[in-house]
Amino acid sequence: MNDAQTEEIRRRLSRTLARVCPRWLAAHSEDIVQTAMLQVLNAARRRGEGNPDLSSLYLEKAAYSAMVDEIRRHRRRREESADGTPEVAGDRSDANPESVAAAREVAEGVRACLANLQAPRRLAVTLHLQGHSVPEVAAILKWRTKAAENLVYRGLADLRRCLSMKGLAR
Amino acid sequence: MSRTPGPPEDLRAAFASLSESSVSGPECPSPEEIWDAAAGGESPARVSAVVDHTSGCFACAEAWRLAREFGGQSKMAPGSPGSTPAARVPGRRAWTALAAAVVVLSAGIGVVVLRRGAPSVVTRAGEEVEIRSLVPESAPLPRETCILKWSQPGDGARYTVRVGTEDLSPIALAEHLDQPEYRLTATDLEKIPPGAAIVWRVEAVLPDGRHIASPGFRNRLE
Repeated sequence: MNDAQTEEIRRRLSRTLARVCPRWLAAHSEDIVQTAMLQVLNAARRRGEGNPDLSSLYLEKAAYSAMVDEIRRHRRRREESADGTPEVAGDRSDANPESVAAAREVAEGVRACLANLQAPRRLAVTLHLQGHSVPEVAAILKWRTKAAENLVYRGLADLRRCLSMKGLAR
Repeated sequence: MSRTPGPPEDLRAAFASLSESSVSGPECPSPEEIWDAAAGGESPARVSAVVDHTSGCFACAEAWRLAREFGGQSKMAPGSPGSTPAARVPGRRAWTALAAAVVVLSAGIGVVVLRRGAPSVVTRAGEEVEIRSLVPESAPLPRETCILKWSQPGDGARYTVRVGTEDLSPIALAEHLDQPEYRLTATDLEKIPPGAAIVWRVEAVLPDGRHIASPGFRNRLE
């Protein structure tokens, strides 16, 4: 592989990462690009091909994997060093301590209530809370759309009921 | 009352906030597994297992959202000015050459579900339209007669089908098909080892202009 190809891969990986890399991780973006490049080149070597796969999907997956690995490493390091610095401090600089504490309480309530949902409703609600629409939930879990719709709405009702019992929802 | 979670957006924000201090563990699926599950490239049981894991592991829940963001950002408008009727493009090299066309035709094999969520369409009569695989997952596909078939979402639909390996290497692309089936040749499959799986996806354009995308389907080869 020549220098031009290497530069092309680096440029495309950098562009991909720039779109989605969390702000708090931006300082590590070069490391992530480097890791992703190695992954692409090693994969090409394993397949016995001189030229790496340059399809957009493949590069996106490589960039994604490298980024998630870096996030995991970062979080483990932070936990080991007991560094409580928030990653998104900038986003919360205006929040008062009371509202931060209330938000944390609600989040913990969501965690506990979600764990107590029946399994199919938990799957449906988890994906919905991740931002997926009902048709997306159906497609991901290979369910019929109507079934997914029922499970999302019943699961959300259960979740709200549970939060309400904890005094966290009306 | 400020702590009352009301609409789903509040619940989503509360759920997402759990990731800020979460740490992955040895039992966590790899990023590649999460990507594949989110893209529909895993078996239903495995996808369910990964999703269930994300319901209690917020580091992996964050990884899922990031996978979604990667895919969602690549959403493109349908239609390719350079496409040719019934163009059939086997092989990785040819796929790369047509990468631009693939991109504008929206979505790829791996990020199928992430990009558009394989939406079904509801007609005015209330009928739900979707594309389902008609290839049983239980039996491996024969290489000599490797035919992918899917349900018709409506009369007069035109199809684009994309086929790839599980690691997202493209195998074949066919556009403007007027029949709900596609036959892979032995040449298409020559680099795929016995027992390996292919992942494929169909997009349909109905005569009234509606676009329907299938989820990703997965079948093993002989």
